[in-house]
Amino acid sequence: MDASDRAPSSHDLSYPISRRLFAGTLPLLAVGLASCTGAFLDRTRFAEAFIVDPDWTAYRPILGGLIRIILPLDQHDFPKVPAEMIEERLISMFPLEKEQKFLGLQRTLTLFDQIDLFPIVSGPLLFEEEKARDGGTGAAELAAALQDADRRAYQEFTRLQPVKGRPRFQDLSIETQQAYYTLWRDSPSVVKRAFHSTMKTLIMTTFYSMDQVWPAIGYAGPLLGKAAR
Amino acid sequence: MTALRCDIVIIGSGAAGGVLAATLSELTGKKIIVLEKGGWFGKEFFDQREWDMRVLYADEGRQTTLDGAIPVRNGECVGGGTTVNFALCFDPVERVWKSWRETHGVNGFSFDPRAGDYGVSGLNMPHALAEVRQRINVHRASDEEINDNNRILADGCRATGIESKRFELNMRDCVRSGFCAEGCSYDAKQGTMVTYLSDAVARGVQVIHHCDVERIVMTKRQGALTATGVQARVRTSRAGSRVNSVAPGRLEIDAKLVIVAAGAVATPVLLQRSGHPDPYARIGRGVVLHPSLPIIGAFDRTLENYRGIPGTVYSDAYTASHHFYFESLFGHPVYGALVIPGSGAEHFALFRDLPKLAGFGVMLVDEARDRNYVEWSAADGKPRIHYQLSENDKDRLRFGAARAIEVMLGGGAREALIASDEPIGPRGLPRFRSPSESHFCSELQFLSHRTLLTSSHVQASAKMSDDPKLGVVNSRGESHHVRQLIACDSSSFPSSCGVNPMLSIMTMARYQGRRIAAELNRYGL
Repeated sequence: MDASDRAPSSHDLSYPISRRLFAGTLPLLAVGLASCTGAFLDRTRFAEAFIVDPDWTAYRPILGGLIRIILPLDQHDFPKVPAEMIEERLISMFPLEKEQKFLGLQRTLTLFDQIDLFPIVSGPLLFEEEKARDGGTGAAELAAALQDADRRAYQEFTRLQPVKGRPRFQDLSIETQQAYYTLWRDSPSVVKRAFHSTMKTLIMTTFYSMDQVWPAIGYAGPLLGKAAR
Repeated sequence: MTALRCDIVIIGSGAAGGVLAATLSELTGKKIIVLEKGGWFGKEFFDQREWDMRVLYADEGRQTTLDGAIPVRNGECVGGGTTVNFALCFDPVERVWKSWRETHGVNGFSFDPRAGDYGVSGLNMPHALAEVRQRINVHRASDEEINDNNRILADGCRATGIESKRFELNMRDCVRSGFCAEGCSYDAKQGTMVTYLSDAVARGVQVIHHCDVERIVMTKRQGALTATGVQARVRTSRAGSRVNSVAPGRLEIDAKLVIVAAGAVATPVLLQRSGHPDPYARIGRGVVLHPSLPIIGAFDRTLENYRGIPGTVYSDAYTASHHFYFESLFGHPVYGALVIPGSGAEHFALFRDLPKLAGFGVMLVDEARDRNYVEWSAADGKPRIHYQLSENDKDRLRFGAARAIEVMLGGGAREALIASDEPIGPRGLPRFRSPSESHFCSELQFLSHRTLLTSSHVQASAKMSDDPKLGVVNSRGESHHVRQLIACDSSSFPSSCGVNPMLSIMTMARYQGRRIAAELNRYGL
């Protein structure tokens, strides 16, 4: 089987924030930067998250953190599978680091990691947002609405779990990580919600396709007794 | 490069292509080639594992609407959808086909069993349907074939005062393994792979699988654009597939008649990619998906759910008034994990008791709207499915969700859930313990990526109409703009056919196959 054929079994990001698309959003981003010099630094970091491809090892802790909040690995009756094994399996099923089609997901992982960037709605995100909405609300209107909602949600989040400086997702406690992941679920941004549901899809698919977890959920598996391919 | 020559090339081997190949080989002596994008996997390949069997689906099961929100399942293997579906059979709905006469100028397709459409003796829908029903062994599920999950739907319907019905199935000697969607390991499901296509192959039809059709070749002949064959590329076969009839590499086929039966995603995309004229912007427009909302029930007792025949009970009590069905549905762990709302401990608290869960779907017969369309993207060569629910359809689904919650609780569930993490009702997630809570469903917004809708019935994306302003092909399935080119599959329906579409597609294909065989001189064959 061609390695490039491997893919998630269900709804994943079908609108990757790719390099090519990013090039198309440069003018929009420039306008965003010029009109909002106060937040210049944050916006630059935001834009960077869409341009810079860190080494794959930089993504691993983020992925590992997501696995721990989507699967309650520490619960006593949860199937005993080490997080590292799930991570390895996920990457073999969905080669995030190798394939162009996962580039958008990679980028969003980087963005997701920098939690203080959550309330910022900038050019590249808006571009993807408009595409995902498929001819809905106009750009300016959309930017205002998204920014307003995400800012309020983020304020509430930081009020409940104060964070200092420029925190990374990977450094938060599990409880705070969970609350932050929920922000992405509850956002009016389709792109953010898509990231939330895609991570659930990838991690659940990876985990519940493993024979060794089936006894814990009472699933007897195939009748034929053939080994997995 | 391989160059072949034939009379008729059929693109697709599913509900439409398989039946067309068998019918034309039965009734004509013509040389026929069938091209299939997916592999030819026999029962020995089907290992009853969800992840492995993703290869039977378009884009390995990851095809979605453009916003990534609705998984759109299409069989992509020899037999197409008939290899991976739940074998649910509904006769073509006479009311719908007759309405197309008025609304879309679709002629023929008589439901009078004495009719001979186009002057062809015996050419009518009841005759075609009877032949198909017999060949694929359509029969009503028996009492002992109803598993607990289906019985719960029947019980719930009874408790809430609505009627439930028994599905008809195209199976023979089913062993009730519960692995329909992974391909039948027992050849019990009578899809086209084990019926019509095998008949066609026995009569000398050549099947080329792992075949990407790049374009239909169209040339000007006597001033008219005419289909003269196809250009394709044959991929290396996936391990476990049957041996192919040609070597991997470029493939060019000269054919006198080209029939497209690639399904409602691939057919419009192939027409667009081939440069098929589209002066009225009809190709791909008005696609319908039959979006389905999964309903989950948590019980206090162990049930037979993932074993047994997945679908034997349904209800059409609200179909006339609200355009939806309740259809029994259950899956295996990956599907189950994605349908259960939430994550972390809350998710596992429900999912750890998989044998105590029940499920059915609210399947909506959605409106055909031009703003929903399938298009080919030159950028990555993949289809884009642009789809948004209409406000009317959302209202119907809200009503359907509320009734479904009542049915699930009426069937004995301790708790009923929707595959959604919208904050509906008193428990954060949409979890309901009393029928009096069902009214909260009116708050559902069907936000993408928060409420899961799934689709397995794409239709109506290259519609039939005798008016070229309304359709891509005429009632014979002939292109309005390209000679010697016919399209015949679920894309041909002007709107939803009103039911799970397999039998409607197969009946139409049998009908068109008979018609083509009787009108060969119309195509210079």
